[in-house]
Amino acid sequence: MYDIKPLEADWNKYQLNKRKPWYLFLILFVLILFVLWYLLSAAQKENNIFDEIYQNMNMFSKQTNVKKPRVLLPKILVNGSVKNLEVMKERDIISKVNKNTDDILVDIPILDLPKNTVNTLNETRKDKKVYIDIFETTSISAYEDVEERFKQSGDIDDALFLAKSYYKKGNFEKSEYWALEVNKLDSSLEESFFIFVKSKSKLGKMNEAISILNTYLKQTNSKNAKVLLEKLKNNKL
Amino acid sequence: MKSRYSAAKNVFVDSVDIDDYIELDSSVSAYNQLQHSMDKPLKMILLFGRPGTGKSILLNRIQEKLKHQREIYYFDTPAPTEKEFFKKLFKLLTQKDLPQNTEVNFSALIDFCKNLRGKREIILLLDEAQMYSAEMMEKIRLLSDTRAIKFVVSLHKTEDEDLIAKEHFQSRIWEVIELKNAKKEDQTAYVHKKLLKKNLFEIANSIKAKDMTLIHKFTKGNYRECNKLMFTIFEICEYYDQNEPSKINYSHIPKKIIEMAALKLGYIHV
Repeated sequence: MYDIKPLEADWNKYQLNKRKPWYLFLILFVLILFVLWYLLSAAQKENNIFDEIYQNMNMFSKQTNVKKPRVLLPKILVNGSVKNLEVMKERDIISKVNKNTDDILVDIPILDLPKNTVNTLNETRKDKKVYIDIFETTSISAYEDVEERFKQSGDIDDALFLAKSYYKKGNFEKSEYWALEVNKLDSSLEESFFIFVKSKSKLGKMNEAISILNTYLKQTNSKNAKVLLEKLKNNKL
Repeated sequence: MKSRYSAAKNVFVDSVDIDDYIELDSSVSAYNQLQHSMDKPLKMILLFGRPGTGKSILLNRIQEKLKHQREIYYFDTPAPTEKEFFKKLFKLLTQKDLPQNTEVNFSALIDFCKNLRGKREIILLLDEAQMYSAEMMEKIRLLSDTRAIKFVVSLHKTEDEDLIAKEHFQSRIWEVIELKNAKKEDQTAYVHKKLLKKNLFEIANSIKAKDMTLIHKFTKGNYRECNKLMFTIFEICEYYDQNEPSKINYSHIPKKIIEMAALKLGYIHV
């Protein structure tokens, strides 16, 4: 037996060839596992993104509903004088979520709006800073509409809008009432609280207003409250 | 230094040696069947099977066993010419050599055989009968028709030879005995008995059942192939035993060595 070394070499090759299908199978198996893992992790990631979007949306909606005044779209039919009431900034989060988020949040139907006003609105909504014109009206029915809608939706923005609008119109009884409504929904909202205090003072309940503001100042140490207190004391409101 | 595997290797040298005959269930059955057929008043018996299924050793065995009881002759290889064949036949029939410069007259031979009917019953075992020509086989048939000579014709079973068998024997053969490749159990017994016959107990014991499964797979139960494979296995074992003893396990034949032998013999390929 002189050819044992070539025979051993042949046997090694034979073994390799014999195991080749198993190696291929193993590689294929690992590949399939990797692909499955990749797909699963991708799906997981996608879910996380959706969760994040959902959370952001919730946060945004919470923030817009409760903490900050939201974009107040002109919902009131305007017949009278026009006055710019408010300029609002959209939060950065809007851009993160979706352009359509505005649509989601703005759920109040727009009443008959003059064409030029609609254009103004569209233009402003294209920018991050949205400038909203709220039209004051003498039409009682328009305010009643908002009041009626508030009864159905309990939307804090409607109440705040009414409080501010009535205050500006000089209807302090109503502005006091609506500021209180806002306060019931969110006691931490300073703006409504100030309207409430100012309405009290305008109604001649100065001492009561100062007392309420003092109590508030003790709790919050708010600078704005201090300024307002000074104004009330000096009768410069 | 002589290896312990040298003797084992030589056990499997392929030869038709009656001393190497191993009685297996299948071979005993074939032997009995052939003997039984020879007792019948048949003119021709066909022993049929693939090469290496034990036809030659069976003919040898039966001739060896019956030579003292019956007039039985064994032609291991066909005569190169018709003349040679009849010369041999003349000698066994007449117990005399054919005189020089003479030839056997076939018609006279037939008449001679006819005269022998009832007086002698000659059995002629013809191995490798596929090598006889068609003309020769026709003459053999005519001789068998005298009923003085009974022919046992051994044939390889290949596709071409199947055709020969059909053409030349089918209508003339009275009985066909087919030898088949061994089953795993028979082949295992064959290998072990062969080794034990030469007192190689340890080596026989080192061939385990799973090794025999592999050997049977490679050889398909063919005895000749089995001999070849076993010879090569022990040849490789012998090399390792003498040159690289660390590579061999004496308690069992490594699978690697069986596969190397199979590669060498072309049962498997790289």
